[in-house]
Amino acid sequence: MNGLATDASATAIAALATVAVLGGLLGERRVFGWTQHLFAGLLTGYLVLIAVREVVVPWLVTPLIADPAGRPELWIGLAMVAITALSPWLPRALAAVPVSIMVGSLAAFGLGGALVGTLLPQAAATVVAGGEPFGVTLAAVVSAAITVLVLVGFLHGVPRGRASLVATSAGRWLMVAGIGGWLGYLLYARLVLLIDRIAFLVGDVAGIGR
Amino acid sequence: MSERLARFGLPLAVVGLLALVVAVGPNLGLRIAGSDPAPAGRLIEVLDRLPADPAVLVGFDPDLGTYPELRPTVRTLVADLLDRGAGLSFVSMTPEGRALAVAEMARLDRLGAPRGSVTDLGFIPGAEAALVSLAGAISGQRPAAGPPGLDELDGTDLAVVVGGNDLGPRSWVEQVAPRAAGLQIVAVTPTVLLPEVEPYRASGQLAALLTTPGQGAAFRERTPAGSFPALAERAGPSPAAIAAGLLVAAVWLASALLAGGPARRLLRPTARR
Amino acid sequence: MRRATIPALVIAVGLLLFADLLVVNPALGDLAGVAVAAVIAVAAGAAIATGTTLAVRRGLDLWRRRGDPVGALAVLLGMAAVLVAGLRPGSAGAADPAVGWIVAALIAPIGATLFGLLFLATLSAARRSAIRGGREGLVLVAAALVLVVALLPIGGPLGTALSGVASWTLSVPIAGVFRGILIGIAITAAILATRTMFGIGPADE
Repeated sequence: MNGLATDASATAIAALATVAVLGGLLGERRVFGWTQHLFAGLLTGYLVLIAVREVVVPWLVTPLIADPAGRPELWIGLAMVAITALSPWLPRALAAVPVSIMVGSLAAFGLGGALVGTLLPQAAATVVAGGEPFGVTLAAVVSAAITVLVLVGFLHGVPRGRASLVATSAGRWLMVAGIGGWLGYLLYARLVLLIDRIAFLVGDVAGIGR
Repeated sequence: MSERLARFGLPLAVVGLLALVVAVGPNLGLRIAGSDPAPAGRLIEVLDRLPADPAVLVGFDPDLGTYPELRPTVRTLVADLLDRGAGLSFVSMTPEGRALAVAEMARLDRLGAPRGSVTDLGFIPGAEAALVSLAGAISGQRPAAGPPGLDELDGTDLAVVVGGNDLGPRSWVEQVAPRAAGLQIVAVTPTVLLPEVEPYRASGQLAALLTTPGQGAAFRERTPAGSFPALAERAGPSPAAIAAGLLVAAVWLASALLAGGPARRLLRPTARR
Repeated sequence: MRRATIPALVIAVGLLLFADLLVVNPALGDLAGVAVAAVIAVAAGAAIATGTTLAVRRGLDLWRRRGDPVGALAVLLGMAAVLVAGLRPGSAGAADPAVGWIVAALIAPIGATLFGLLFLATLSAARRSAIRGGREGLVLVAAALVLVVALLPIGGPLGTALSGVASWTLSVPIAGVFRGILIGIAITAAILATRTMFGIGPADE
């Protein structure tokens, strides 16, 4: 069976929802728009549900009810949750505290991740290793040359001099071609998604070809 | 061709064609597994090297939109891991991932996954902070916050990242790998993440990666049915429908390249400004 | 709270977490653990804030008959359905069968179908881009066309040859391009993160 539906009622509603969205193809924009609104409401409700039921209650509220004085750091955590949740209605100076913590953490994780997780290993992977068969070495050389040119095209602002101009231009064209290749894969993947929904309607709902 | 026909008629014709091919289901000897079999082989090698009854952490964060692309491969991988005696701990850091993880765990329970083989670690918010917390737990530190099962992640043999959302394999490689030395990470992601995950496969930071429908199909084809055939989803999308859709796309793109002579324009030198 | 306190908090949290990555020190690790827990708590609060803000905004739209009232009602009904199913007394939360039913019947199919439509939308956008005739658009679409043909799931010697082309293209030129982009993004992110962490603005340059 395609999808996650486990009973007939869920399958029937899922089929209606699928048809409502596919109706957008025929220019039926109103039902399509309402479906999107419903989707946004459902997802946001789900986000609130898991934040409350799987984080705030089990990690903070339940331990605090069991032992209010035992773990003072949990009170700080609960205060953080409350300040953030009410931030649209609190004074800016107070609402800025959780935002500052978030920004500081994002910067630290971003810097650490970029340096240790990506820059150094990827730079190392660009280096062509010796001792491999000719075909493998050639492929690695081609790949490394493309990487260097794309990097030049990506980072170079205004090229000066003929060599710099040629390298930057080549890098940018390679980038466009690479993204085009990815577009080919993307179309393939989107097609698989569309076929999955059609197979759901044709097979699971209409029972044809099963 | 009228504008209305172009806007609504052609899309409808494409959907109609695909529906017809799916319904008729012609077996023309087509297969989607052939396009890229090597990544599937690498994943199987990693799985074969696991110890007996391995502890596997499943970072389950696909998104609702692209999950159908991964679903057959993810289900087959999970069935294969259970067949190898693995204990699976599911954790999600995005709401969509959590919704899908709950649905998949309910399915495993319904279809007879061994009792006690699946642990639900739930949802951890905070994106990178959640990953850092997980990495600490894997390397034996007591996390300052988190669900109870987090304490038992010490000694995890493998992390399987099911990506699709913002927190995909790149975040795992950047945040978890440097903090949990020796942890092997494999990933299954939708094609949309190809640009950001492919370099990590090439550098070996991801021990294995399946990221296109063809790679997923190759893995499903090469994985034996094992003890839990009901848990795996063998049948992927119809190859005939894929061939029909790709042919439509090829004709559509080729006609656009030729329409109005843009191909000729490409060859003409650009006027200097 | 004084204005300087906020940047100071950003810098303190940032430096603490970055130092924890580079230096192995139990005391530092414990302190960083508390900071990580605080970030997780803030994220949980942000999730609740997202929900309350959306509910208040759509509720006001409905009350004042502003915008699309049916759309606003659909948002509120969607939120209410999930929250009632998951928060009512005796509910198992996200694992409750009622929540599972909503996910299977509505959330998953709507999300998946929206993405399915993107096949036609992406194809149309690519076509428009090629017809417009810009060189970038033409190269982009030509490269996509090559890959679409190479990915055709046909058998025999032609199918094997096409598979080889698709496989080589992905592992050599496309991988090279993506690594270049990834390194470029990582350099940009590292610079941006350093400036944020140390509070360096345009005025400091």
